[in-house]
Amino acid sequence: MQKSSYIRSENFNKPNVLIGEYNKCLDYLFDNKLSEWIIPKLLWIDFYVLPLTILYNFSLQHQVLEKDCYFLKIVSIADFDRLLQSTLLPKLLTTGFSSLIVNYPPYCSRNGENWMNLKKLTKLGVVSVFVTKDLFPLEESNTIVVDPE
Amino acid sequence: MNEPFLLKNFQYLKKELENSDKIQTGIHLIDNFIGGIFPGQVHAILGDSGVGKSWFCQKLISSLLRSNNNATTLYSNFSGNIRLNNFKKVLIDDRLLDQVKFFDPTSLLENIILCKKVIDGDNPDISLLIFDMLFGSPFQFSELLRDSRKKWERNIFHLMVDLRKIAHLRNIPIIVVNYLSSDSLNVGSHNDRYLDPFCATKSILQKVNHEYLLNFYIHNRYLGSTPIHLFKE
Repeated sequence: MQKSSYIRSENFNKPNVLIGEYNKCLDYLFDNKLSEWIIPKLLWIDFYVLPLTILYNFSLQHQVLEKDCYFLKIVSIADFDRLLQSTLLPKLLTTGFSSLIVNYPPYCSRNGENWMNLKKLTKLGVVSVFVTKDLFPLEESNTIVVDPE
Repeated sequence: MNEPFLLKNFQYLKKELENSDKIQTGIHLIDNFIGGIFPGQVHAILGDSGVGKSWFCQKLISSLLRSNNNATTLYSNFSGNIRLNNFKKVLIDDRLLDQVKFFDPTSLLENIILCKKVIDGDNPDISLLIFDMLFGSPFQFSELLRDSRKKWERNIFHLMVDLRKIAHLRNIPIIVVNYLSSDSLNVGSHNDRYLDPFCATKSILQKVNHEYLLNFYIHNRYLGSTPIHLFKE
C-alpha cells in the first residue's frame, strides 16, 4: 500500500481507491487529481451529500464543474446498495458520463458485492472511490492512502 | 416504494442554496455574515462546558418562533438539564414555549429511537430539530473498551446518517450540540470524525482570556474559519 499522498495513476482499468477521512479525500482529489480524473463529464455519488455551501465554493474554484459535474444524492445505506446493484450507473456511464466518484459509506454490509459492481464500472469510465479504511483488495485497485493513521 | 435517484447538476444545487429559506439566528453579526442557518443541513455547535452552547440554541429557537407563528421546534435536551427560567428569558414571550416540544433523553439510544420515529413520520410539523448533546459525558466515551467503542461509533454513525436523512427529506435545519474540551479548541486543526462529514457548518464557542468574551467561529473546511466577537459582559 502506498503511504503517501503521491502516486501517479496511469492505469484507469482499476478503481482508484482513496483511503482516508472524507475531507482529506476531497482535498486530495481537488488539489491533485481533479483535471486528471474528471474527464470530461463527472458523475458524483455522495453518501454524505456534500453541503451546498461547500459545493458552491467548489464551483467558484473549479468553474469547469459548473457544466460538467452531476450529483446523485444518497441518503441511506440501503439506497446506496440499491444504486450499485441497479442498471442506472452502467447506463449513465455509457450515455455521456466518463468519470465516476463514489463516496463509499462505512458500515456497509455488502462490500464484496459492491466491489464487484464498482470493478465492472471501470470498463465504462474512470472510477474513484473514497473509503475510510482498506475495505477492498489492494491488488485490484490503485490504492492511495491520503490519511495514514 | 423505492424512490428514484435524482441527478442534479451544480447549477441546480446552487439555485437550491440561493432559494433556501434560511433561519436567522437572531444574532446580527452571525446573520449578516452567513445569512443564517440553512435548512436541509446538519450544523454542529461545539464548545466547553458552560460556554453558551445551549444559549445559542435557545436564541435560534426564539428567533425562529418570533418570526414564524406556525413554526415548532423539537428540542432534545440531554438529561433535561436546561434551566427553564433562562430559556424563558431568551424567548422573551412565554407563550412561545407552547411551540417547543421538549424531549429529555438519558441515553444515546433514546436519541436514536427519536430519530427513527421522526423518519417514520412522527412530529411531521417541526421546523427545527435540536439535539443539545447526543450523549452524556464525553469521558464515558473515552473509557469504553475497544469492542464497546466500535459499537458506540457505529451507533453514532448511523444516528448521523439518520439526521442527514431527516434534514434532507424534511428540508429543515438540524443542530447538533457536542462537548469540545478547551484543550482541543484550535479550530483549524480540530477534527471530529463523527460529526464533520455530515455537517454543513461547524461552529465553536469559546471564552477567551478568562473574560466573558465569547468568540463564535464559523468553521467549514472549504470556506475557512471566521471568528465572530459576540459580546463582552
